[in-house]
Amino acid sequence: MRRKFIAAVALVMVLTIALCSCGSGSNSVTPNNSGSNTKDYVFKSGSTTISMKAEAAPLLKALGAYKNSYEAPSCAFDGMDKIYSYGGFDLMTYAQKDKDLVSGVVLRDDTVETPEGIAIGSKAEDVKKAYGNFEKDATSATYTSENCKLLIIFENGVVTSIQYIALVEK
Amino acid sequence: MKKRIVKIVICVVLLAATVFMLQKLLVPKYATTNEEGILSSEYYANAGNNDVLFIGDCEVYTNFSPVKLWRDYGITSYIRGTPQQLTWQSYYLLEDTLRYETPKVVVFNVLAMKYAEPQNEAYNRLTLDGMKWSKTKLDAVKASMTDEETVASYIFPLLRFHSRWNELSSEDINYLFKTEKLSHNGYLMRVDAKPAGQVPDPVPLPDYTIGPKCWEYLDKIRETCDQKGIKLVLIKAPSLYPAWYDQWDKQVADYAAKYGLEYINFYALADETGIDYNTDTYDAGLHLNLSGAEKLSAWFGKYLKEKCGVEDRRSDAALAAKWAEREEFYEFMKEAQYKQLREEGAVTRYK
Repeated sequence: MRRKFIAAVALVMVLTIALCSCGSGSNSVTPNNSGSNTKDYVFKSGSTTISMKAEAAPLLKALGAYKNSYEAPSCAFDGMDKIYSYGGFDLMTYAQKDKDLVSGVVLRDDTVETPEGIAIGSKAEDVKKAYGNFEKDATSATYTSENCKLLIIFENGVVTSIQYIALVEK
Repeated sequence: MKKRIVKIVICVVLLAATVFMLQKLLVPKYATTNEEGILSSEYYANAGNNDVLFIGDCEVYTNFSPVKLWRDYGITSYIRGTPQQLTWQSYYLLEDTLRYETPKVVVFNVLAMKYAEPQNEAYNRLTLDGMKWSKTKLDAVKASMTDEETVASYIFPLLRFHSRWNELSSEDINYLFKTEKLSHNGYLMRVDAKPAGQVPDPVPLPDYTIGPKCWEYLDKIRETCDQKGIKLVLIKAPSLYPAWYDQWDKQVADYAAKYGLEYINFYALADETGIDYNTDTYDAGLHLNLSGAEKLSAWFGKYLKEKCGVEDRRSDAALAAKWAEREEFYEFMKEAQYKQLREEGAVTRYK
């Protein structure tokens, strides 16, 4: 009887410990993500195609010298968010494990345009033709693809900002 | 029958002890990485006798030095700041603090007003896991949770971290039952400097309206302070990045004017405070280093004394003795970091 009791207690403790090792999900509480880049909104600079969540290193090499860069650490977690300014656009990256991935592209002036032909200064009607409809009198339009949110902001029917934003799990 | 009951009790106690130990082992310790995670719990050993309470995100725990406020003005203060502390979390940390003491002034940093909704479990944990259990904590958890989180995982963190067993390190053993003091009444010291350089232009937003949940909880902070006779001061700490948009600033300034509150945007006061973003920040313009925090505290201490009537308490012998210990730890950490700078060329750890 006594042996049975000890065996039962031991079994409960072993099961409890085993429960702790059964998880196979992410243990990290640090934001992370994964995904492929297919059929996405992308930005092109010359012959370089910039997809959201793509590895930044080969893109930076292909884009050549930037005008300015800035590093912004998060409040608590490891890794730096980085911003590279190329004049007409800014390329933003975030750290994931030992790599920097593209978190966004912001078009800064009308020297660059999207592959669909929209630039700062374009008319809202042209945006509709290029990307699809949005609500009348809207001050912004958002188009989402697999890895990218394309945000276009208007003022008085004219595009004032174009932003490619990576869809990253929080 | 009696024997059977004894056996059941033994069984339950052993099971509870096993679960307790496993939970202790598996939860993150925040001892050598993500150290900010222990800021929330450090308050309880320092509760009481704080005339000024700071609440908010990293812009309070890196930018104000309670030791400087004490040294220069005899002002007692505590910073209940945590990384990306959201407005509702600031409210609940205020409510939690009021369980232990009633400060004369509450200082709330408004940067987190830009977040209209719960953001991220990782940051929630850094603020909430260290709070002592109470109805306040439960309410804070409910207000903060993202869709993927559960209240049960905060009550029993083992449910959240049970699969962390394959990440365990010596830190989990060494800090199983102990924590080491990190902050100076909530202030997290960094002595190194990194000039700001050229900060990128802010990215335009489609909508600059501050979210209703932020206003709801700012109302709660204000009403709670009113009920307790506490003076509430709204601040925006000095920083170059991330952007604090003029549109946000105006909404907060309008709110302050509507309710007769003080709102100080320190970015606009750089000449008065003497903050130099080439020497007074350790990460290129986001957070102040020790030099910057002491400059800001010197200016703000004068304001607290002259405009808020916060008293000089240096003549209280018991308090003075307690603050002398804090000053000693402050000097110890300062020297330890300067030593790292001299010998290693960088600050890689707080002590």
